[in-house]
Parts: sequence; structure tokens; C-alpha cells
Amino acid sequence: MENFEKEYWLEVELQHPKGWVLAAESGGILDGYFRVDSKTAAKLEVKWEKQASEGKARSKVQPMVVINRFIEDYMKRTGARSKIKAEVYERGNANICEHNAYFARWRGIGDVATLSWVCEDENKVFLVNYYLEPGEKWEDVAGWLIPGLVCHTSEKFWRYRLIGVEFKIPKGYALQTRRLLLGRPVAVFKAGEKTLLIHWSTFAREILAKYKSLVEWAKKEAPKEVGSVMKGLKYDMLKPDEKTGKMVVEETGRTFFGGRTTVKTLRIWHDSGSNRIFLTGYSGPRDSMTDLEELEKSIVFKPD
Amino acid sequence: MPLFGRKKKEPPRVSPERLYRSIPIVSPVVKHEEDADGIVTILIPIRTGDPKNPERTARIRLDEIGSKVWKKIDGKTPLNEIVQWMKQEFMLTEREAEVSLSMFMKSLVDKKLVALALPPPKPGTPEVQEEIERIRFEIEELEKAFKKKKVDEKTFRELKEKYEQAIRELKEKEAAETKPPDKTQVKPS
Repeated sequence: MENFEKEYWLEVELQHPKGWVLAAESGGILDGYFRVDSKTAAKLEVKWEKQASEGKARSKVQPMVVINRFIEDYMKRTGARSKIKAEVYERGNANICEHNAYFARWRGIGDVATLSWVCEDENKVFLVNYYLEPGEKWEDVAGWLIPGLVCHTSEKFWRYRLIGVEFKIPKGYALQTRRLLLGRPVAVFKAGEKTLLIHWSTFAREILAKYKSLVEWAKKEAPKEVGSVMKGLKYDMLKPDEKTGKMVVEETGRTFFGGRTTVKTLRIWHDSGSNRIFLTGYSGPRDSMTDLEELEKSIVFKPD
Repeated sequence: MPLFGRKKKEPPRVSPERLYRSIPIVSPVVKHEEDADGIVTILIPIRTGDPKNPERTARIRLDEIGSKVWKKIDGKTPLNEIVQWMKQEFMLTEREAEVSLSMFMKSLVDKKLVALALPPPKPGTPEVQEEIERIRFEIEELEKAFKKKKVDEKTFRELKEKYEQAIRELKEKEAAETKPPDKTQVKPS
């Protein structure tokens, strides 16, 4: 499996051949979507949708119906002009992450294998498309794709992997805002009144040679999302924390009615091992500050 | 895109794999100087049109990252090797290194400071047809330049012949490469 690498995005884990990249993504709270491309073509799409909560009346979702609907919609969108009709030529079952999944292989504009299943643990309906290229055998692809798909875990966090950096976000948080700029991405996760933020910047050594300090770097280069999530925190107030060696600014307050202590904090540090500047932030009740510590502990640089 | 007039025809696409095997070469008229910190300033001669002072030098000061990459452009090292070096030097992922380098190279090529020497196409691959189309595009451009009298007739004829010769050679090589094996067998006596 050394020719494969893991992808962790939007509460889904999968593996794909090395060199493929996350090329498109959206959603994160009630639904999620991402696409992984090889160097030459779109290869893999993952979609999920949260089902209505238990309390509300909900009809049982049939994965095969989900697949059929998807194929119909797909052909309406892309096949209408070319007048190509979709032809499903194989149907079957598969076991994905302990769930019974259905799959269909079909030809439309290209050769596609579509899988769908319901994850009762996370209350989500999944749909995965794999776009086969001429000469590619589904049997070979299924051998690495299906065992690698993870839609739920017993762990208390979701793994994320983005451009060589892996980190864990406690369950309950959903990806709310992100800008996936190569070399300086930013992601904001929300869980009710709690917010977690992560950003990093490559070329740290070279950038710090220019700005001379992390404070100056933050003032000029920190993404605008930091300012909007951590309103009121001033970079000038960043002070070194003796224990961690990070630059920290923290502001405490109290909720209007309950009188609970709330915290807003930003932490910035230079990780010479990965030549990156990391910036993390948290806003929310003080008793959940451990979420930020867990996030920071989990950050690992995993170059390809 | 221009509001009036036709959009300039784009040259045929070169596959990313072949592009990454190409070798960046600094224009012979471009020089550079380096300060004590290793920061590079590119020196570009510019014709002023003023007979008293016919040439001046434009200067582009690179940052630390740009300086390090510029020094790797030695006319021998292909882009894919520079990508591998960038991954190690700056601790980047392959994609980060590829994108950073291609953006930097694009700016240098657009300013005509650097040219990319493409490797010969791999026989038996779509690279051959891609190369033929690229040469045909060059011929079209040459013909346009000749019609506009930007090139004299002798140069035009010589260059056109060279290009056509290159196409013939590519086609011959490709035909030899893809020729099916000889099926005639010597019967045992």
C-alpha cells in the first residue's frame, strides 16, 4: 500500500494513489462534497447528506434509489446535449465501513462506478463516484477504494489532511469557512458557540527573515478570517508563552446571562521542522479550551 | 479578452509531464548580481532609442525564495529536479513546490528572462503529435511575421525548411517506432 495515501476531509477518510489531490470541495455542516483528481482527470467524488434527526418523521433512504436518482440527474445535466443515454450494466453489494452498500456500474459520458450507503452511526447518506479510465479495471480499484472508505469512527475526533498537514478536530465541530490557498490555507470549525481556527503558512524561515517577528508577520499576513472570527484581539498584544514557546493573546469575558467565563485566544508559532508558521484560535466557553489544546497536539506535517 | 478584434491564437498545449522535464535557460543578455545575503538582483538591458544613451539596465530584486530558485536555473537542471530540490529546501509538498515553481517560471518566461527548453518527445506517445502541432504553430507564426515583413525572405525560407525537416524526422521516427514486427519466418529446411 506504499503507493497509496490517505485523504481525510469533511468527516470522511479514504485512500487513493499517491499524487492525486483534493481538487474541489463544498459543504461541511448538513452536507459535504469533495472531489479528488489525478494529474490528468477527475477520479473520485464523495457526497454525503445528513438525514433528518430521529425526532422528525423521516422516510427510510434506499441507497439504490439514491444511485438511480443520481444517474438520472447526472445525465440530465451532462448528457442532454449529446443525447447519450446512461446504461447501467452491473449492480451489486459491497461492505463499506460495516455498512451494506449498493453499487452500480454504468456508462454515460464515461464509465463510472457509483456506490451508496447509509451510515446509521453518523446519520448520513453517502454517494461515491469513481470515474474509470480506459484500461482501468473496477475490480482493481474496488480492492483499494472500498476497504479505505471510513464514514464513522469510535474516536472522539475527525481527522483532516490538507496539503501535507494532518490535524484532528473534536467531533461536533463542522467546517464552516475555509480558504484552501496553496501554502496558506485557513479553516474555521464551529460547534454551537464554540469556534476553532487553524491556519498555516509555508516558507516560514524565509518569511520570518523578512518580517523579523511573528507579530509583524501576523499584522501583515494573517488571513482576514482570523480577524472576523477573533474580533477584538490585537496582534500587538501577542506575548510569548514560556511553557509552550508560542506567541499567545487571550481575552476572557462572561456570558451576559449565565455568567460563564468565555475565552478568545490566538496562538502563533514557528515550527522549524516543517518550515511553517502555524496559527490556531479558539473562541467559546473556557471549559472547552481543551479542544484547542487537542487540535494543537494533533498537528503533524506529513509531506508526500 | 479584447473587446474588438480577434483573440490571439494560443500555442498548442504541452503535456505537464513533458513540461516538467524541460530545462529553464536564462536569456544570454540577462545578467544577475548577488549581495552578501545571497539576494539576487536580475539585470536586464533595455534599448532606450536615445542615440546618446542607447541602453539602460532595468533591475528586478528577488526575495530570498526567488533568489534561491534563480540560482538553480543553470541551463542543465530540469524543472522536475528543481521541484524535488524545493521540496527538500523549503519543506514543501510536491504540489506546493510544483505550483510555486510554475508561477515563478511563468513570470520569468512572460518577461522573456527565461526560456524553457523542451525535451524531445518520447517516441510512441502523444507527445510526438503534440510536438508536430507545436512546430506547425511556429510555422504559422513565422508566416504571419513574414507577411508583416518582420522577417526577411531568406530567413523565412531557411527557418520554414528547418521546421518542416523537424516534422518529417519526427514522423519518420514515429513510423519506425510503431512499425509492426516483421512476421516473415524462415522455414526450417
